[in-house]
Amino acid sequence: MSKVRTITVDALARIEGEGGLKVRVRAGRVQEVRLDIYEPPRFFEAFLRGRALGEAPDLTARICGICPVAYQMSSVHAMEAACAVDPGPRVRALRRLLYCGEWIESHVLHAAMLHAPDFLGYESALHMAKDHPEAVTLSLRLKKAGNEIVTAVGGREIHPVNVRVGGFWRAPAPAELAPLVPKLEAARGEAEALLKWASAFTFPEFDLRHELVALRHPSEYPLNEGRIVSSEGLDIAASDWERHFEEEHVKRSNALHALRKGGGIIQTGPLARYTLNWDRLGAPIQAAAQEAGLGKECRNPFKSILVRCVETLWAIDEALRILRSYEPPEPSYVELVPREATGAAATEAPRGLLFHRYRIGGDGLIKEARIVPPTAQNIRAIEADLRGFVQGHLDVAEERLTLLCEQVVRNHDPCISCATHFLKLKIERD
Amino acid sequence: MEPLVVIGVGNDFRGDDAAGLLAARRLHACRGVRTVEHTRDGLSLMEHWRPADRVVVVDALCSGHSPGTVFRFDATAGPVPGDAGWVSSHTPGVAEGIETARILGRLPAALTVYGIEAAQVDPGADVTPAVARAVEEVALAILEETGRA
Repeated sequence: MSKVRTITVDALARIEGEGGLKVRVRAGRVQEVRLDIYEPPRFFEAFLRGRALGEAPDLTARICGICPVAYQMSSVHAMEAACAVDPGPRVRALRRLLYCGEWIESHVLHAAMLHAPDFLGYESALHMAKDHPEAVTLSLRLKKAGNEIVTAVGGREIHPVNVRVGGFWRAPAPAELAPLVPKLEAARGEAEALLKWASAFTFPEFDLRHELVALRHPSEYPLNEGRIVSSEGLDIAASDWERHFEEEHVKRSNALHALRKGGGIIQTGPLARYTLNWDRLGAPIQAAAQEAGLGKECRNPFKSILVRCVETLWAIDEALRILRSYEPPEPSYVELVPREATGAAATEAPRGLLFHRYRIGGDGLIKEARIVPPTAQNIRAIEADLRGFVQGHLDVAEERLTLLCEQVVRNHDPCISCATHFLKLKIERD
Repeated sequence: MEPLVVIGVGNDFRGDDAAGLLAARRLHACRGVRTVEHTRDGLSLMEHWRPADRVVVVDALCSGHSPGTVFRFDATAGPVPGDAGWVSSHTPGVAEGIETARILGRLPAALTVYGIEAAQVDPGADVTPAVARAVEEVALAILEETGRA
């Protein structure tokens, strides 16, 4: 038997965007792990320069078709920070509602349609639907409930048009949002069923110790705001991200890699949020998580599917809470007075922390923009997971190992379109 | 006459991938036709129809034929080939969405799929003249086959 082993996936399936993966093993040691991101760069940060600050939410929403709301939220918060404007609690509540809708649709799409087939041994959701029609049907309904929130609040289901700096173009009347309540009440039962279904999967033993990074709010599970905290004790204002983290360019990737200054590998997203904010989930959600087999922290990336289901349940409860006490903001937005300033903000996209910083001029134009998507922060963690996983599973046959490697990548729900700034897998064994 | 739903699938910002959307827009004002512009993944296609509907889906594909070539699949009679080269920014795509609906017993009373061969699907590209002509051809064929011409 040859001593060189190469596992190659030229184009990874069931992820958002285009990329490939190569793992090279020589004499029983993993020599090289490369996540090649060949989705072309899109230069958003450059073409935002010279645009009006009010255009940022609509332009940056185009970075992603799955999580446009996240881009809108980080950008509006950053602009409002620059102009020292607070749109008040009603706008805040409506934004949280919109964001819950995006979490539900994004998490359910990934957990049920893209990730679950890995655990059950199906090529895709289509193949899984034959044997698990109930799970697929309820997931489609659940995802639709998320879409309906985004449509009702944002004006349409992708790239919402109702978000603006300072608030919303138009605040929906309570009667327009009321039909969401019974739908979400039904969705809650579906989310519980989805979590129960996923909790019966078999999860490979795998525990990693990357530094987990997430927002933390004094009283809420993090979504729109909070300080940036980490499992290593970091606790900073969100605007200070650049003082503690850096991005580096690597030749193989059109996505930048974000690291702690000094080179530490970080991980953001559901596992980080959950582990750092378990105490903010509230008793009913904690109980559901416990019943699904999760503890107070979760460091097994394969179990991220369970955490996504738990967060879906949380988002439904949060959306219901907001809807039941909804009062439209009046006026629906506050005007910003532009000034020469820099504003930064981080919010929790479904895939993790999304940092935006803008420098604006007194003329209201953007002079500089910096956008750090969650996938850029997770690429090194994905590569490290692959290295650790392949090293521990060298006895596994090629075909099976390749599938497992793809699963290791999908654990992180990478959005390569966002980070390129896509995926193929190659394992080479010497 | 049974309700007709025409679902155009595609992306306005990727050249000929807009073909499905253009076909839906072409039929938007026709009496007795409900048009849908679908810009998401294929799995949510089934949200647009009810069991009794007659449905036509139009999407772009890249199969190596000459630009503007029109393909017609009777999805009621059998599976839509997933490897026909459907253009999609999202997975799962149109074929997976329709076949998932079939497995779940969620197909409408009649379902036809038109594919229009694309020449260019790069971001920011224009729609090529041959594809624009094919959109018109497909729109007329839909009206004809459903007795609305």
